[in-house]
Amino acid sequence: MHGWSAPLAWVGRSAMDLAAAFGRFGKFAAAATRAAGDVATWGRLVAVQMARIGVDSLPLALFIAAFTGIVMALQASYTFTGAIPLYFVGTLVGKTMILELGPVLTGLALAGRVGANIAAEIGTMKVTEQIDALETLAYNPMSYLVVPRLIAGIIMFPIVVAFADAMGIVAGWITAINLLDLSTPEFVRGLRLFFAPFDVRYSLVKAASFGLAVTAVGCFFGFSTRGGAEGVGQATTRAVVVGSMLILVLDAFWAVALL
Amino acid sequence: MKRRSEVIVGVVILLGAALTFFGTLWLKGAALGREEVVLEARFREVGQLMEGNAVKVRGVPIGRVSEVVLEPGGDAVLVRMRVRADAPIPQDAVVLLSPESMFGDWQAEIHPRGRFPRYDYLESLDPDVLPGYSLPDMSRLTAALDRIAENVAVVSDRFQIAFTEETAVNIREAVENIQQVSEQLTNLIGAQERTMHELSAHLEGTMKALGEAVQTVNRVSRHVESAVASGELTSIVDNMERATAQIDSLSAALLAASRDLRSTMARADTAFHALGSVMAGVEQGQGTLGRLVQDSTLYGDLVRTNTLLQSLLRDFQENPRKYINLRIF
Repeated sequence: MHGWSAPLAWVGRSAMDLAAAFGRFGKFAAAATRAAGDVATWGRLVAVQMARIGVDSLPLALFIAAFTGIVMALQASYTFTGAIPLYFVGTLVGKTMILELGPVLTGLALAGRVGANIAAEIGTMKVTEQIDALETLAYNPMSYLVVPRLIAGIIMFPIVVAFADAMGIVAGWITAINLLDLSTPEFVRGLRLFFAPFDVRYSLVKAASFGLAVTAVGCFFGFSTRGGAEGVGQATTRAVVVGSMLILVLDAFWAVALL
Repeated sequence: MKRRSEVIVGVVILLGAALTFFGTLWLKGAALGREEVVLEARFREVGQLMEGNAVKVRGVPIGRVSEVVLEPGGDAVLVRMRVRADAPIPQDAVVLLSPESMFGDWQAEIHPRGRFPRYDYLESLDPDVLPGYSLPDMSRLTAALDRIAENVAVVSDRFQIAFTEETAVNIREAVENIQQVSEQLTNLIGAQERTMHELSAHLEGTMKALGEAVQTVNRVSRHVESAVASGELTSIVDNMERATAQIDSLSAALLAASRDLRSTMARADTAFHALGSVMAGVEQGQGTLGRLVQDSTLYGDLVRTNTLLQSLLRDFQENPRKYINLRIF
């Protein structure tokens, strides 16, 4: 092959790989959708996955949300100098935590924790042929491995985000009344000032989509694992990177679609 | 293990759902376990009012705006408010929408109509729907300011067009003239002030002299009084009476002389009349004198005679022995 054609070959190969990846993902999604009907298989596994994806992720999500709330309150008071009343600290903390930082930061953290965990677990099962063993035992790997995680992600991400939103607001409130010259009624006034119930729905819908994206990407790259431990590592890394990117893309999508 | 996971997941899910539900209600300002009633008000437009904004009576929050909807046909806006059932709603109540602060949050205030009677409230046929009015928001005020700014810009442009370089020079000259006039006025006022000072000084001197004159009059008066008291004035008056009598007699003498003078004048007049008739005769050549005056021949003869006489006299003086022959012996 001539030297000048190498870049063109790289572009072509990348495009074909991307198209192949989309094709594999479409095939994977179709198989997962078909497997959703196998409730008897995945129904008894969902609770475990919900505990692993949701309950076990709560400390990390709350930790991130708490410090985010603190920083938000302090930065808001730092920004609101002079003309803007300080009770807008409550407005900024509430709106920002519910609409953006709660879902996105929790989603990114869980993309690292949950997405990597799923990709690594399924990838290891793939390279150690445990998935093949499941198929041999007449288990549908999609019903057994993917669907419980997807459902757990869709359900538990909004729950975790709800706790994270609340934790961020509470942390901002505690910061405001202790470190800023702000009273609880003032903070609550700002918090309620521009609140709309739609904000909560928006936050939870985003969180559910993030949960679906993170778990689906983790499962997909886990099932796509090739080779040994190195392949598992690559699958894990890709799951985290692609999951994080998908979260940001979905964040923009929901902002355009719903706001 | 699996059972435990299920319990924990169940608890977390319920807690999360409860947190979301009650948190939303709390942030929305909904009254939990409190009896509420729904009030409705009708407006032409509602500014930036939105669901969740405060409803107040005399500044005290009593509820929240629960719904903002356009009436069928779009001619008015119906606002529903959830307020405490025990909230005191005034008689003949109206609802006034206004900005709660300068940062976009609005409120609905319930007032008796008499408090703000001049607003054009939108009435409703339904007596349960309160009349409402919305105050202008910042955007409308900004639009008004924008129009004002445009008008100012137009005026400014016109001013620039009218205010040419020549106008500036004229104004500068006018200012200089005004300064000169001002200086002249200042000088005039200074001169007037000095004159006034001088006049005042003169007046003061006059007043002083007048005072002295008054003192003199007083002294004279005292002298007169003393003279009256001592009888000097009586003698003066007697003297004056005598002088007056003498003047009377002198006047009588003068009157008599005057009468004599009158007769003398009459005689003189007669004499002049006679002289006049003589002169008239002379002019007419009557008499010797008249002929002498009027007849030139006679005048010539007389001149010649005179000449001859003068010659004779000269000859007599020169040769007296020719005419006088004196012999004594």
